[in-house]
Amino acid sequence: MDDLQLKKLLESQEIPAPNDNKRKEALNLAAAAFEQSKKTANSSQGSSFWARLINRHPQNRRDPMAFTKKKAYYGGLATACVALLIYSVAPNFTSDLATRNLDSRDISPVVVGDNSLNKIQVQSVDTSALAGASAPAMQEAMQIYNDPQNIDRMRADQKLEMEKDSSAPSEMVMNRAAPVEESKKTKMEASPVLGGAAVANMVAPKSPAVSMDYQAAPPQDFGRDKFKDFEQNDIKSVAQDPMSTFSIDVDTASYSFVRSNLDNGTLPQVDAVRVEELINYFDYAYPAPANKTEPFKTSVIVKPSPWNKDRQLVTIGIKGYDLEKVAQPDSNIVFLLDVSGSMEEPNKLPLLKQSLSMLLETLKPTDKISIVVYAGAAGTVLPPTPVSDKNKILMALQNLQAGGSTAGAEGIRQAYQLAETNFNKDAVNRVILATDGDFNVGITSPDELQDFVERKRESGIFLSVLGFGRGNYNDDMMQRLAQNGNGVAAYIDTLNEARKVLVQEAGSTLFTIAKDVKIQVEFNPKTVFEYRLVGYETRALKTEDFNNDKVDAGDIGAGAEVTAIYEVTPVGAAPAVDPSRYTSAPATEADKSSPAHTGELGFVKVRYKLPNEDTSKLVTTAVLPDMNAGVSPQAQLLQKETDWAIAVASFGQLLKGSKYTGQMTYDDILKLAEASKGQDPFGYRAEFITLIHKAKTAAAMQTQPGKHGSGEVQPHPIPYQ
Amino acid sequence: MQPGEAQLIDAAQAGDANAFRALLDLHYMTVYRMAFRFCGNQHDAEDVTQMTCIKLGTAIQSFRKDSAFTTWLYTIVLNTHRDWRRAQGRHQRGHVGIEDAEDVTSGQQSPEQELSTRQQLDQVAALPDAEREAVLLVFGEGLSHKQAAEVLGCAESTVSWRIHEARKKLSKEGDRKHG
Repeated sequence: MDDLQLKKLLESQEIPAPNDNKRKEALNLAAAAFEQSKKTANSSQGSSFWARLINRHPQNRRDPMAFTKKKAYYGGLATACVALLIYSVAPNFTSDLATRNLDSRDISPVVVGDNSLNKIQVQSVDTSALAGASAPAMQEAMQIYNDPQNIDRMRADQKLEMEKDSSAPSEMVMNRAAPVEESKKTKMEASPVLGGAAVANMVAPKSPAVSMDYQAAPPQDFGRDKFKDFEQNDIKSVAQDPMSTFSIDVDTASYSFVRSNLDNGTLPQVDAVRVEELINYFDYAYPAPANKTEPFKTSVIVKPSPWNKDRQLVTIGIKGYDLEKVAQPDSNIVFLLDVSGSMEEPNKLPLLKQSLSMLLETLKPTDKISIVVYAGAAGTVLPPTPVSDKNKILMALQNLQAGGSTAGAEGIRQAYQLAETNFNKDAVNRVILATDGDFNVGITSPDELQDFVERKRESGIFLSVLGFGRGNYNDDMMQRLAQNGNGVAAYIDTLNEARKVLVQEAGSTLFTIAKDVKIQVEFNPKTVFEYRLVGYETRALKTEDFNNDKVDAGDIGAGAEVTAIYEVTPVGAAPAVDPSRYTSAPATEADKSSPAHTGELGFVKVRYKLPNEDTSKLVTTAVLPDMNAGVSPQAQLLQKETDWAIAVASFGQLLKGSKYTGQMTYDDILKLAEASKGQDPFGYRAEFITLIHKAKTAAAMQTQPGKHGSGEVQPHPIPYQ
Repeated sequence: MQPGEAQLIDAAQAGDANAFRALLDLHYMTVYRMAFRFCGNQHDAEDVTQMTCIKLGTAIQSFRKDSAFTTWLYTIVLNTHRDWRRAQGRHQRGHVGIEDAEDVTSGQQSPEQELSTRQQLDQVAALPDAEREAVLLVFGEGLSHKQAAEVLGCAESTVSWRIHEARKKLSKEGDRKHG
C-alpha cells in the first residue's frame, strides 16, 4: 500500500457529523473547567511544575523543537493532573452540589398518614439521589474524566446505589416507626406550617437514644446529618451547687460544620453548635508550660460580661506542652478509610486523599503507616510501610475508589488488628478513621461500637476520627468514637481545614500529652452568687467523678489550647434567681472559710493522667477578681485573647438562640471580634469574622418580622408557640 | 492559522470565557475528526472529544505560541486518547473489531469496495499504537512528518521510520489477503 492509497483510504473514511447535544455539552463542560482553572490559577500546582521543566532544558539547544515537543507532552499530562486536582478540591462546587441536593429533598411532597410515612422517606431520598445523578454537569465531568468507557457502567452503579440508598433508610424508618408516629402527632397538631423540612427531620433516622426536641424549629437546610440533642447549661446557684465539673473537649468538628452551613447561607442545626468546640477551634496565646512533667498551664482571666452588666466572665485557659519535632515519638498509624458509595462525592474521598498526602509531610521517615479500607467489606490495601517509602503510600492512596455499602464495624476491627500486630509500646499507636459516619452494615449502633473502641483503648491503641461530607453526616457516632477512643474528632470540609488539623496541629491531633483531663471549679459562696458554664454541655461530669480515675474524660494533645468560660454573678449584683426568703445568706459558710481565701471567686482544679499512667495528678489555681487585669504586655495579650474567646462564645450562643446573651447582636460580636483579632497568621480569625457576616445574613433571612414583637434579629424564629 | 484565532487565544488566556468558547467552537470539528479516526466510532469519539475539551479548559493557559495552535491541539487530543485507551484497556483488552464499529465508509462505494475499505481500516486499527498514531496524523490529518514529530514528541526520522514500518505491514497484510 503506497502513500497515496493510504491517504485515499483514510479520506474515504466518512466521519459522521457529531451529535449537536454532545457538542454543546462538551463546550459547557469545557467552559466550566475554564472558569474553575481561572479561579485557582494563582495557587495552581501546574505553574511550579512548568517552571521546573523549563529550567531543566536551557542547555539543550541542539534541538529546540524536541524541547517544544516534550513541553507540550508533559504539559498535557501536567494540566490533566491539575484539572483533576481542581475538580477534587474545589469547595464551592461541592457545596453548591450539596445545596442542590438538599433543596430537592426539602420540596419533596408531604403526605401525612401512618402508612405513607415509609413511602415519603423513600420518595424524598429518590428525588435527591436523582438530582445528584442527572443535573450537575461538573460531577459528570469528573466521572467521564476518570473513566470514560465506564460512563454507562457507572450510571448503572449509581442507579443501584440509589436503590440501596432508598431502601436502607426506609427500613430504619420502619424500625423506629413507633416513636416517630407519636412525635409526629405532637408535631402535626402544633405546627401545620412547618412543611417538608420538618417532616424530613422527623423521619430522618435518628438513634433511638436521642430524644427529639420540638421546641426549637430546625433551620431549613440539613439533610440527614445526625447530631446529639442537648440542653444548654443553665444558671446554677453557688449555695446549692458550688462545684462545676466537666471534661475538656478539644474537638473542632462543630466549628467546621457550622462554617460549612453558613457558607451555604443557612443557619446550622441548633444541636450542631457546640460552643466549646467553636471556642477551642482557635489558637490562643496562653503562656506555655515549661516542661513535659507538668504538661499544661492554667491561666485565668476575669472580665465584665458583655451579655449582662451585672455579671462577670471567668475565662480559664489551658495550654498544653508542645513537643519539638525531634522529640516526636515514633508513630504506628493505621488509616481506616471509608470508601463506601457515600464517600464518592468530591468533598469526601478525593479530599481525604489530599488530606492524607499532606499528613505524610508531618510524619517522620521512620513512622509506620498502614491503610485499611472498608465498604461492603473491609480489606488492607497497604501493609505497614515506613513513611520514607512515600511513593508506595501515595500509590495506594491514589488507587482508592468509592463504591458499595458501609461495613464500618468490620473495618474498625481489622484496623485494630493491624495496629495490634505492629504494636510498639514506645510509639504512638493510633487508628485514624476517616468517614462520613454512615455505617449501615454489621454493627451499626453507636453503643456497641463505643464499647469496642473503649476496650481497645485499654490496650493502648487510640482512635481519632476525621469527618467528611455533608447531608449524611453522623456527628453523634463520630463524637462518641473519638471521645471513647482517646482521640480527636475533626470535621474536614476544605483542604485548608485539612491543613490545619493534619499539618499545623498534627502534634495535638496525634500526640497525646495528657489523658482524662477533667476540670472542676469550686465557687466561693461569699463572693459568687450564681454561675453558668458556657458550652461543654455534652462533656458534663458528676461532681464525684472528678476524683475517680476510672471515669474517662477528654485528652489533650501537644500544643493544644482549651478554653472554658463561666459567667458568674458576684454577690451583691442583681441575681437571676431571687435569694431564698427562708435560708439566711450563706454568710455562715463564708465565715468558716479561712481569711486567706475570702477574696477568691473560686478555685480551679485540673486533674490529668500522663499518657502511660493510670493515676491522675492535680493542678490547682485560685481565681482572684483582679487576675491578669494589669497593663503589662503579658496581661494585655491575655485580655485580648480572652476577648476573642468571648466573641466566639457569644457567636455560638447567639446561633443557638441562647437566652443568656442579653441584648448582644451580631454587630456587637463583630466589633468585639475585630478589636481582638490580633496576629492571626493563618487567617482563621479573619474567616470567623466573615462567618459572623454570613450568620447575620442567614439569620435575617430566616427571621419572620411581625411574629416577634421587637425588630431584633432572632437567630431561630419559633414558628409556633 | 485562521483569522482572529490569535486574538481569541490571547483573550482566552487572559481569562475571557467567551473567547475560549469561540475558540473551542472553531476547533471542535478538528478535535472530533481526529478523535474519530483514532477511536473508529462516533460514541467513543464524542467521549474523547469531550474529555479533550474539558482538558483544554485548564490547558489553554499553558499554550505558548512557539508552535501552531493546531499542532498543540493535536498533542492534547493524542494524549487524551492515550489516557482514554489506557483506562479502557483496564476493562477490555484488545481492539474493538471493525464489525462492531458503525458504518464508517461513505455510501458512494460499491459493497465490495466498502468491504475492502473496511478491511484496510481494520488493518490500520490493528497497527501498533506508535505506528498507527503516525499514520493517522500524516495521512489522516495531512500533517508533514515534521509536524507529526512535534505532536508525537519524537524526531522527524522516527515518524518516517514508523510510517515506513506501518506501510510494510499493511502491504504484507494486503498481499496475504488478496493473494
